[in-house]
Amino acid sequence: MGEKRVNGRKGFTVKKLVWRLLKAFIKTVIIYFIFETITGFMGSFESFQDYQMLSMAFMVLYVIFIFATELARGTVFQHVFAIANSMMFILYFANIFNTSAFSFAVEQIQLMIDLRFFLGIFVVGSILGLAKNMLGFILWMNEREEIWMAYQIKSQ
Amino acid sequence: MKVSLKALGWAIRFFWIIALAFAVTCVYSVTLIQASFGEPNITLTQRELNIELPITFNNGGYYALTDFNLTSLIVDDQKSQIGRATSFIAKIGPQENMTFYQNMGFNLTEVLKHTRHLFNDSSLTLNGIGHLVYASMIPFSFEANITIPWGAPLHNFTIHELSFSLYNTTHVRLVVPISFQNHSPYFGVLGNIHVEIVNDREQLMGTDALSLNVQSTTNYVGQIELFINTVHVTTTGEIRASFETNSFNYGPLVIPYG
Repeated sequence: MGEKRVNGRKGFTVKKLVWRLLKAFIKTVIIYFIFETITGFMGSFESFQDYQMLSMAFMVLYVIFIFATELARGTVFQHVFAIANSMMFILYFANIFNTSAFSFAVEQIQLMIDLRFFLGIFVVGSILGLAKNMLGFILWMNEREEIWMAYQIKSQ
Repeated sequence: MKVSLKALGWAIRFFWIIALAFAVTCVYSVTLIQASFGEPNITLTQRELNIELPITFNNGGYYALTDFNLTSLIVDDQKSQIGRATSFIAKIGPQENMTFYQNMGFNLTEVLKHTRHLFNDSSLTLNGIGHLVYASMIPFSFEANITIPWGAPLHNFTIHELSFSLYNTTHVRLVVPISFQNHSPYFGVLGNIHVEIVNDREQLMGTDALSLNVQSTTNYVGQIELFINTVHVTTTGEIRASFETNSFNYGPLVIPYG
């Protein structure tokens, strides 16, 4: 029972491809659930409604990046997509919290909440993610170099 | 490097789980906070009207409300500020219910120096603006308005048609009918009304005072009787009415006759 190879790449089998797609799908479902919960609540803020379209675009791009990252796992593109995804996160949060104060009405009371603290948390989280992806990229480059050098030594 | 990268990956995952859990509980907690304004209790002392507004905060959330600063402003229908009060509460803990009273006093003389408040019904707006820090990190503010009806104490003040009748050979009997409605739900009009009749030559024809005791939300109908020397009587002139009451002084209100 040998594993069927895809594109002739070593270890890249149909089974792995299905597993990666499944992983991406599960990640998408979890992210979509979190996104729906947050935007559902944020939708009650008048000032957030301007960002509904942007949030939807962000969600679509994020899902694309999840699938692209999973499918490109083991290649340089995995890191490229992951870094791009982290940068998109930072830009999105910087954009969405640009107004910082959100207002909404409860019965006769007009409420206003300053969410700069959350902006800070989310931006810090995104920067950490970017840093991790950069390190992953450096590590991948380093490993490739080591493999190349080992191959060079072996061929000599 | 691989191990440290994995460790960083897990640290970031934990960071996001904690951040999201905090964000979600914070947001959910905000929805559990209930604030309500009770019926304002309005009392009159001397010439000051006191409004005591009960405010109830039910913090059903998971985080404390701190540095709670509440400012209340009373403005009239033309946005002139009449009264102001501030309160400060250091902390309302989670699952804590707190009622506090915002006391505002304003000088009636100040309010009634705007004559529209003497003669026209309107409404005052009690504007409550609160600032607080939620979960010791998130600035939060709210604003609410309550309308308080203002009833004019001299609503529809009218000096009806004067009636002249011959009293004797030298004097004329003049009757000045007066009516108004005290629409104020807060205070009565207790005091005097002083009336001067001036002819078109700016000569004082006669003067008299009438004591008033008009309870809140009641009507007043009365008259002033004057005996005027026929030499001074003219068909046109003016009536000058001045009020001296327990809650305000006003006058002279000049009303032409004839």
